[in-house]
Amino acid sequence: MTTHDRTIDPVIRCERVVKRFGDVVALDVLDLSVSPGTVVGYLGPNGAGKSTTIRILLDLARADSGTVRVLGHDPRLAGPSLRSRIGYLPGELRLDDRLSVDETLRSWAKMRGDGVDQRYVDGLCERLDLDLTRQNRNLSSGNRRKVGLVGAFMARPELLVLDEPTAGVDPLVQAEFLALVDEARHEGRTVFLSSHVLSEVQRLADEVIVIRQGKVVAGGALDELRQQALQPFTVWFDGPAPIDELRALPSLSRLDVQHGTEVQGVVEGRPNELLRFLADHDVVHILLPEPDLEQAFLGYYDEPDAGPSETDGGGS
Amino acid sequence: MSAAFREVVGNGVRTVRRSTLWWSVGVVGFVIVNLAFWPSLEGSDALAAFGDMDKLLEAFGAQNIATPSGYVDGQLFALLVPLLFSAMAITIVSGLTAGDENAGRLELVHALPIGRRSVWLGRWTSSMIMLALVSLIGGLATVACLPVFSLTEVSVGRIVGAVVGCALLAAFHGSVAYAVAGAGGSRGLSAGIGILVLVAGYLAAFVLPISASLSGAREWSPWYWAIGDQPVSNGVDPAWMLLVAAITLVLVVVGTQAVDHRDIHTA
Repeated sequence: MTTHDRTIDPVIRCERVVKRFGDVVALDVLDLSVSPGTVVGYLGPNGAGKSTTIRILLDLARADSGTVRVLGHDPRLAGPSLRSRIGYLPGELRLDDRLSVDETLRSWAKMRGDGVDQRYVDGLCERLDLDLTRQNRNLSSGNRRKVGLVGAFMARPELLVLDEPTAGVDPLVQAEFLALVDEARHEGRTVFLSSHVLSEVQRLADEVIVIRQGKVVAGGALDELRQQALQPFTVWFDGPAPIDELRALPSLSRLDVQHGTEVQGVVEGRPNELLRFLADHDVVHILLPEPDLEQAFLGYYDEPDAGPSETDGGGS
Repeated sequence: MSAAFREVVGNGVRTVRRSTLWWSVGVVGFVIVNLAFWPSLEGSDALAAFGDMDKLLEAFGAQNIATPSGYVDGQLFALLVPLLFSAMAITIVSGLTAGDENAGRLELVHALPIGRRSVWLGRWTSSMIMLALVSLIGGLATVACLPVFSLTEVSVGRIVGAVVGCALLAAFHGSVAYAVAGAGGSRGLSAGIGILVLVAGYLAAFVLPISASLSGAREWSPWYWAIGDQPVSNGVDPAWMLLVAAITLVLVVVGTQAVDHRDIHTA
């Protein structure tokens, strides 16, 4: 679903992946692809199959059928050698309450082997304002998330798989997280990011994939999706609003007239048609904010048959 | 042994160090309290009166309770210490495997560059290290108590054999729990089946043989294989102990292989 150069092997490739839990179909012929060096937002409502996808990428769960390749390898067969190249933050991060933060991080670092630079880990802890001396059982959910973030980034892996990375963390840590992802991007690493915080995805992602009921329903470069998104507008005319003429423009919908002179509505796609129309009329004021991706994605979440860019199960 | 595997083992040990400390304190206290009564009971009519209840005493492994070795058997190694050690092994193994998996605490560990089988084998090893530690402490406490409580006639070698037998029996029951957890059983199920096998083994070794027609039942019990009949009075049989060790090994292999063929549970 994501756009990329097909001559470059994708970092993540899922083809016709099916995963069932009893009678529940978690992934229903899922196809997706993630290009190297990109930050990809993986979006969808609760229960859409985001975490199941991620767990299959890390061989925590096994697909019933289909092909999964991560960094060119089958996660089931490649095992530890593949996972040494991946940093993972689970959505439901459960730390061992019988250990301290320091014990937890040192343990993860030792299990990762020689790939962890302790000075880099110390730097991460400092940036995220993480107190190493505290016991895990005394940590807030935000601080637990910080421990998980340090664990994911500590080995500077080629691929970061982050499931709801900033859930519960304060704005300062969110800002630091954004900086860390930017650094990873500049270093050519790939970030696969599942999040409900759409502003975060908008800020970070080069591409997005939207999943619903185990299928990819939309995806592509963020700019493309932004162009496809419904764009609200408000126009104040110097005189009665030409509402009938506006209704004749195919790119406009949801039109409403207020006070006789003010028109509200949405533009689908580029606003050129509207702007050309307005150029021939006496306009007092116009409000045309940036397309709201959140609204666009919520449309995909809500509608069983998704919006204009729906490509059922289509990978790129 | 790789550094990552050593860390899995070390992590498991650190995780249960407090509970192991309390198990150790409990075992030492249990040994002292039970052996402390010997000086006042030795040669008393009370113990002689027990002799009339042979069948009942057999059910508790205490048929020779009037002798020093029989007293140590009856109070410690024929029934109660094996029960304690086995309960500890089942609790720790099921907690470190199925318990931590179902609580989501193994999710991130399984995403690190270490194989699933190594993680689970490491957790089993941690449990066995703690079991060995508690067994050692319990054994040392027993040996230290012998002169204090006028039990010098009791063979230290037999005590060592009894402790090893009890630890082996506990390792067996812990490994039953491990195999169930490896196959995907919850903490409750793995511990429950471990306890079920423990109780069934006890009934086969001690209760069923009270009936003459079922006297052969004991030879089907892991209790009998590991600690024999009155381990301090009669000693243990290394051949039978090897059988327990072999079955334990099979259970560990089964559990370790099973976890590699399924999804890891999430919280």
